[in-house]
Amino acid sequence: MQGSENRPRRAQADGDARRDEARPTATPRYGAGDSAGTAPIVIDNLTKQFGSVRAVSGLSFTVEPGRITGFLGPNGAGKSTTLRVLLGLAGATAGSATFGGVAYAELDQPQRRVGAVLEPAFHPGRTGRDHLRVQAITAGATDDRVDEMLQLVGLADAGNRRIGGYSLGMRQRLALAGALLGDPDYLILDEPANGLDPEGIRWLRGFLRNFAGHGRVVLMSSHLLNEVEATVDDVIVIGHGRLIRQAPMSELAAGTSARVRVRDPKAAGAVLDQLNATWTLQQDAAGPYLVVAGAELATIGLRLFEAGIPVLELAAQVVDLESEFFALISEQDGGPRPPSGSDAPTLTGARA
Amino acid sequence: MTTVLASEARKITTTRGWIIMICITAGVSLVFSAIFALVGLIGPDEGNVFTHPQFIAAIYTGNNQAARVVAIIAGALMMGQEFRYKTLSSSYLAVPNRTKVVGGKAIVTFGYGLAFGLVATVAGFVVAAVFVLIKNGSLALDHRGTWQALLLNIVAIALWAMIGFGFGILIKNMLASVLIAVGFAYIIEPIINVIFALQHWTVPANLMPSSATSTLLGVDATSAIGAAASGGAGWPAWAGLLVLLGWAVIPAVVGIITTVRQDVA
Repeated sequence: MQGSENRPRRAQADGDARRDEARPTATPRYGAGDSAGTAPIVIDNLTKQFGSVRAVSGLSFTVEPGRITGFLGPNGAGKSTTLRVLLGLAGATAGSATFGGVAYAELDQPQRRVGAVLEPAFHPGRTGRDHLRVQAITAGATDDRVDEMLQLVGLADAGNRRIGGYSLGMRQRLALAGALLGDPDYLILDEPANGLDPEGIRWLRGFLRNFAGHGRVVLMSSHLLNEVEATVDDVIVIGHGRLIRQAPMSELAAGTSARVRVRDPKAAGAVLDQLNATWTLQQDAAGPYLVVAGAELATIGLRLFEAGIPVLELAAQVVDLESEFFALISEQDGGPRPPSGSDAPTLTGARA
Repeated sequence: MTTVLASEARKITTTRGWIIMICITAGVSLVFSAIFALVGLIGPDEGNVFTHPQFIAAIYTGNNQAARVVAIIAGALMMGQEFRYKTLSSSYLAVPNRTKVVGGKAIVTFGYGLAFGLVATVAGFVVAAVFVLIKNGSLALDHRGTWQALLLNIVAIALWAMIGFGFGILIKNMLASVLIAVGFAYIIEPIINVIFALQHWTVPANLMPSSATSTLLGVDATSAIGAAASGGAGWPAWAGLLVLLGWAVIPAVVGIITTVRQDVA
């Protein structure tokens, strides 16, 4: 995976473009077709302008097969716009977004190559099963496949009910079933966790893991990092239509931090500043606590003890992606970040 | 293209709307054809009007101006529902060539419109048959003009569905497109026809879709004012067909060139 430079791998992409003619058939796989040679998704210097608003600006990144890639950014960062250009629903002002060099519109029977789960939109008067049967014709899927997919997403019993009576979670599941009808190599999901209950999210996580495990490409967007942190392998963070960071999840999570709970966070903060540590003040059910990066646990404990500050809790914070995520975005904004969610940081360390 | 057509056809058959629309078409067609037939009962004519082929054809096609309004609504809904329920994304994801999607939808709409035309014409035939039996008249099936009226009534109603389809592409708001289509058929066009009639502008009057429909059918089944406007012009049926085709195709083509190419919200 590339670092922040992200020059798209054009040569490889073009080489893979015509792989359809000579697909090896020996590779075992749970669906039709071969995925060993699935080409990466390549976003190349993509710009999308709506009137005077530039939603996406010179964006470049690649999405590798065999991995689940999280596409992150706050609402309005340009995630959906990027996905819509990739799927041919919106035109690019400049640059390109392709599946290994092939634009969506040029794919033959695109539903067999790319499954897309966008904001769920259905005719409410149609049954879930009939909705899939409409899509099945162009996807080349049989009615048996339709029933199989309903079963897969847990809608077998609701299939003959009208979508108007479906919950948001059921609509998300139905959209996923539709995306999978053609047994695609690429799965693109725009905020798939919206409306899913915790059980549904856990199920989706397992499903995507299995899907990507077969050498296929998963790109899922979210505005909440902690929603996808347990799911994704790679992270692409954008803000204001620009790439902020592309990194493996492990790298993003590598900067392990400490959780420090004290009675007087201000005083503790002053001590931590002397340590050259970066800290943020956060809040949970038990009250405020500090998340400290850039200092060993032992050092933090020792210095706070020396300063006479009672430490109520001191623990390694293994992954604190939410604050990492916000730090990345606020870095780009060059200012304080807006609060978002219940555990959003309320105060930033002086040396952030 | 076969899959596009099959997919679009299935979109119609998997919702209840088409059954309701077909039932409405059958209902209004029975009523309107019956009104024409009843005029024959109370008419001052000497002899039996139910033996006049021209009058029988007027019963067959008397449903046209009612059925075509249902058809124009059904046509407008074809694209309107996709805009309304934001399902165009799915349609374009399945078939990225948008002209192909909309073209396929247009063909299916024409077929859908033929179904409305068939239902309306059968209803007209049933009404005529009942009155012919009662009054000991003739269905006039040995007249070429009768068959022209029967077949072209079906085609005309299908073309009205296409006019609605064009409105549905051009006006992205489903409710607005339906209201404008109906308002056009029932209010705007008759007003324009009155103006044309008063000014004795027969050529522009013949270019309006309802006059073109009358010309095509060879039977004056439109309102008295419309009839007055088009009466003397004497355009052949094929000219009416061409005019109606223009009304069916031009809005759809303009829609494909303009709104269909836009980004999908």
